[in-house]
Amino acid sequence: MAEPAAGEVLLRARGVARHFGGLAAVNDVSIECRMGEVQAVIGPNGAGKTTLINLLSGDLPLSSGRIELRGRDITGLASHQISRLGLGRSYQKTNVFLSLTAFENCRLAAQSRLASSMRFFRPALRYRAPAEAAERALAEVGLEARAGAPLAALSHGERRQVEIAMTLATDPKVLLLDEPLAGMGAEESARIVELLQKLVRDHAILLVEHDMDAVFTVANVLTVMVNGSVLESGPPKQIRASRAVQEAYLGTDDGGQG
Amino acid sequence: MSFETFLIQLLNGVQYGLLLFLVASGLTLVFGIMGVINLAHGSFYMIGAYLAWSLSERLGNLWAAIAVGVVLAVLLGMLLEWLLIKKLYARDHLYQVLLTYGLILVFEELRSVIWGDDVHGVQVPSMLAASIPLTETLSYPVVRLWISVVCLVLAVGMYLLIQRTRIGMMIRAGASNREMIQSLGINIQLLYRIVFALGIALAAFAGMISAPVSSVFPGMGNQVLIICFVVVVIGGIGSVKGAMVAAILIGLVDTFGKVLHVELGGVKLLPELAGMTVYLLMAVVLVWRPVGIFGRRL
Amino acid sequence: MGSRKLRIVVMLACLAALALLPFVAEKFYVQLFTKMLIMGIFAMSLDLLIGYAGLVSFGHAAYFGVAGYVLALISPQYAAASLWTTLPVAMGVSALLALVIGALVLRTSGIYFIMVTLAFSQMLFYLFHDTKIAGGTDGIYVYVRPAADILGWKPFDLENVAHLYLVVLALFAGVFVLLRTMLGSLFGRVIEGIRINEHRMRSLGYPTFRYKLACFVISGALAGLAGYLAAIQFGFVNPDMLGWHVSGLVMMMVILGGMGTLIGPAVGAMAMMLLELALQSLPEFGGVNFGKHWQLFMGSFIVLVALLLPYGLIGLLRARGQAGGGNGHG
Repeated sequence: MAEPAAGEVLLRARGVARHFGGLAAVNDVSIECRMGEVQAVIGPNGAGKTTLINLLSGDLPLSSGRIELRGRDITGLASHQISRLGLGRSYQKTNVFLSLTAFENCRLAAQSRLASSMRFFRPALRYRAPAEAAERALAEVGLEARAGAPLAALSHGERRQVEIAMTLATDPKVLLLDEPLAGMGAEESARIVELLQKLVRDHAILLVEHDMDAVFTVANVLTVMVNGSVLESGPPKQIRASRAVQEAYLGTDDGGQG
Repeated sequence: MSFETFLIQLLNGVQYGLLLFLVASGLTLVFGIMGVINLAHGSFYMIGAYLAWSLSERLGNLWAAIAVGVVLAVLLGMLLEWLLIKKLYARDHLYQVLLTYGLILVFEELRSVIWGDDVHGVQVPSMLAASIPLTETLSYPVVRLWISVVCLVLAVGMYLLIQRTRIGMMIRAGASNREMIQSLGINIQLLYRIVFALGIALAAFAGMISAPVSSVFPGMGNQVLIICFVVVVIGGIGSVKGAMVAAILIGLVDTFGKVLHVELGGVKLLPELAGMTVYLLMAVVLVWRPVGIFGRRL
Repeated sequence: MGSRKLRIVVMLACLAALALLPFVAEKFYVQLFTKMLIMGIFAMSLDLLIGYAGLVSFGHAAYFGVAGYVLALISPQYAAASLWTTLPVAMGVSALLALVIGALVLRTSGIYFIMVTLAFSQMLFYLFHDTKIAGGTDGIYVYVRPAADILGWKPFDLENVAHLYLVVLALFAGVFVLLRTMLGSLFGRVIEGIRINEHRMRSLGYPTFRYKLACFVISGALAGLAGYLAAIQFGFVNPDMLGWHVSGLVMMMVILGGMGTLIGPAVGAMAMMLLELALQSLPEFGGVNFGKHWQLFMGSFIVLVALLLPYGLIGLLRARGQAGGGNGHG
C-alpha cells in the first residue's frame, strides 16, 4: 500500500458503541486518526477509554457502528486480522510473555509480519528480519542494554517499555497506545514522549493517557470522553479553554498516574 | 412404535436424565465454585451403589442402607477434601486431572479388594415393587417413577438452597468472584468443604437410588463420569440449570437411540451406533456454542 | 555453549549404548526396551501438546489406538503387509482424525478442552467396543508383522526381535530430532507464544487457531506412529488401546518425566513401564494379591507425583544442578 499523505485519515470510527447488558460502556463515538497526528483520549476513570481501544483493535466486538482502517471496512474482523492490516495496540495492563527475554518478546512480535510462520525446520533465529526489527524496536524505547533479560527480571517501568517495543516491532501504521506512560519514572516517560514525537511523523497515533504534562506536550488533538461518550474534541488550546471540559474533568483532576 | 412403548421410553429417558442430573450437578458445582475438576466424582456414584448393595444385605432394607450410605459418603468426601482436594485449589487443571485420575485407580482397586469384581443386583423394596399397567402386556415399574420423583425433589431442593438461602448466596457469589467472598470474611475453607461434600453426596446418592434398577458393576463409575462430562459441556460449566437441560436431553437421546431403528443408504445407524449419539450431540453443541448452552466464557 | 554440546554428547552416548543392547542382553530385555521406546514416542507426542502448546489433551489414546487398528484392518490375516504402505496410511488416518477432532475441540479451552478431548476418545472407544467393525471387545490379531521389502531387497526383518528394536530405536531418535527441530523453528516459537499468552499472540497478528490445529495434527500423527509400532510388537489390538486408561497413563508419563522437556517424557515412559512391571510382580500378603491389585499402588503413586512433583524428574535434576532452578522449557 502507498505511503499515506500527512493529515490523511487512517482510522475512522463512526457511531461505535458497546453495551454490556443495559449499560453502554461506549456510546455513539465517532473518531478519526490522521497520519502525522497524535490524538490523546482523556477523561475520568470509567469513561470508556480502554473499551474504545478494545473496540478499535478488535479485542471486543462492536454492539453497533463501523470502523475503517485506511479506507477498508474492518468492522467485525478479529484482532489478528486487524493487526495484520497495520494497526498495533499496546495494553494498559502489561500484556507480555513473562518467561521470555525482552529480545524474544519483540522478535516474536516482529515474526508475525512474516508471510507465514508455518515453517518447521529452519531455526527461528536464522530469519534475520524479525531479529533486526526486534533490535530496532528495543533501541527505540531505550532498552537495548536489557535485551537479554527475561521479563520476569525487569522492573515494572522496563516491562512497560517492552510492551510498547512489541507493538512497534509489528511495524503498524496506526498505533493505539493505552496508558503507555503508566508506571514509568520521569526519565523513562520523557524518552517515550520523545519517541512519540519522532514516530508521529509517519504514523497515526491514538493515545489514552492520564499524564497531562505529556499529553499537552505531544498531542495535536485532544478528545475528552465522559461516561462512554465524546464530550468534546479539538486542539489542546480549545480543550484547555473549554468550560464544559473543565467542569467534567480537567479542573478537578490534576493528571495523576492512571 | 405404539404410544405405550413411546411413553415407556420417554419415562425411562427422563428418569435416566434426572439421575445424570444429580451426578452432573455435583460435578458442575464443584467446578464452578471451587475451580476443581474431580475425575473421581464418578467413583462416588460407584461407591454409593456398592454401599447400597452391601449395606442393604447387612441391614436388611434399602432405606437404612441409603441413610447410612449417604452419611458415610459425606464423611468420606470431607476427609478427601481435607487430605487432598484442598491442595489442588491453586493448582493447574492438569494436576487436578492427574491427581483425581490416580484416585479413580485407587478407588477401583479398593472396591475390588473390599467387594470383589462381581456384578450384583439390589432388590427393589417391597413398597416400590408394584407396576402401573399401561396395556395388557406393558406396565411401568413404580420404582422408576419413584427415582424420578426423588431426583426432582432434590433438584427443587437444590434450586431453593442456591437461590433462597444464605449458603446459596455464598455459593452463587463464590462462583463469580472467589476473592470477593474471601474479603467479606466468609470462611472459604468451610464453604468449599461443604460444597465438595454436597457434590460427592449427590453422586453417591444417585448411585444408591439407581441400584435397584441398574446393576452394580465395576466400571459403572467411569461410565457415568464420561457422560457427565458431556452433560457439563453441553449445559455449560457451573450452571445447574444447564446441567438439568442437558441431562434430560442426553437421557432422551440415549434412550431413544437404543430403541429406534434408523438406516441410511443401507448402513444401519441405530441402534448399532446408539453409544455414539450422545457424543455426536456434544460435537454439534461445540460447533454452535463452545461454552455450552448456559455457559459463560471462563 | 559448553553445556549444550555436553548434552548432545551425552545423548549420543546414550543412543550408542542403547544401540548395543541387542548384542549384550537377553531377548526379554530387548523386548522390554522396545516397548519402552514405543511409549517414549507416544509420550513425546503428547508433550508437544501439553508441555509446549499448553493444550491438555486427555484423549490422546484415540490417535494411538486408531493407527493400531488401521494396521490390523488393512493387513492380510496370514500374510505380511508392506511396512512402507501401511505405516503412512496408519499415521495418515491418525492425522486425519486429529484434524477433524481438533477442529472441534480447539473451539474450547481450559477445562472444557480436557473434558471434550476425553469425551471424543471415549466415543471412539465405544465405536470399536460396541460394534462389529473391528472385532468388538475381542479385538484383532496381527499375526504377521509387516515386511520391509523394497523390490525384493529386505533391509530388515521385523519378526526378528533385535531388528524390531533397532528400527524402533531409530524412529525414536528420529522423532526426538524432528520435534527438537520443529520446536526451534518459527512454528515452535509461535506455539510457545500461544502457550504463554495466546491473547497477546492474536493481538500481534497470529491466527492462533491454525497453529494449535497444526500442532494437534502433528501430535496425533506421531501418536499414530507409536500405536502402529505397539500393534506390531504386541501382535494384537483391542478397544482398550483407545481407552482413557491409556490416555491417563501417557499423561502421567509426561508429567513424571517433566513436561516441556521432550526427553523428560521419554524418561517418564521408561520409568512408568518399569514401575508397572515391578508392581505387577508384587507378592500376596495377608490374603490380598497385591500383584493383581497393582493399580492401587500405581494410583497412589500418581496422586503423589501430582502433588509433589509438578516439574517431574527432569525438574528435580535441574533444581539440583542449577542454583535458581530452571523452568521446564529447555
